Amino acid sequence: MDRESLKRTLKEQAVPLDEAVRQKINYLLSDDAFAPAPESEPVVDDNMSFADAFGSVPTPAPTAKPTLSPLQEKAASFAEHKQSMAEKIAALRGISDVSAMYARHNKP
Amino acid sequence: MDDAYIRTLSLDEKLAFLKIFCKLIKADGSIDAEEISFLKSMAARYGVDNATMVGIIKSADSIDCMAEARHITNRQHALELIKELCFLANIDDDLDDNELDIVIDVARVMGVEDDRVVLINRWVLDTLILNKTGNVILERDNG
Repeated sequence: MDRESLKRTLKEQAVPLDEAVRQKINYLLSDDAFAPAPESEPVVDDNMSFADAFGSVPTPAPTAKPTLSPLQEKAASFAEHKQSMAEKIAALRGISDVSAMYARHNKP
Repeated sequence: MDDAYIRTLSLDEKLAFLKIFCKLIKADGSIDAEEISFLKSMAARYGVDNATMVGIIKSADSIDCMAEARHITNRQHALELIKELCFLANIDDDLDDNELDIVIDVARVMGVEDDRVVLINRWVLDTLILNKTGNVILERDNG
């Protein structure tokens, strides 16, 4: 890495600490910080038939969306979750509580 | 920050660390309360007396950071020094070009890779944010 690129990278990492702390607290106050774990997969009984366990295999419609792999589905779900979290932080949930908290902390 | 590495430093290394810290503090032309507080706490942590520290501060303009960095030949110590420099550079919310020059010069003299400097800086920032968040939530005075 050349010197100017390294300097630029280090500068881009820098954040106003108070604002970063404020966002962190907003996140901790939001519902997303404590989102429930995804539901577990249904248990498959050895005595169950394939049809009972997994249902009939649907015939995809010609215009159906392409099937995503489990990893792709997780990635898409995480991207939606991240976007949702960013929107909530941007909306400054619980701002009155955070402001009061900051006011107490920064009291001279 | 973890102090365990300080016990492994030689006196020459400790003095080199403190001299480079002083140089970095003066690099942006201003010294704020947090930097002074940090320097005093570092001197105490390193077991350096006030008179020695005052001498270092007074001669800060003539300190050659790269010559001091050549005293640091241990890899672990080199990484710890970069960590402390990143902490000092970021604590005042004002990352100066001169401060960055010192961090980069010292890192390169000690053979610390650019990618490692980037990683250490990111980790230091995350740590600073986390610690300050805790101080606010717990209503500590040193937040």
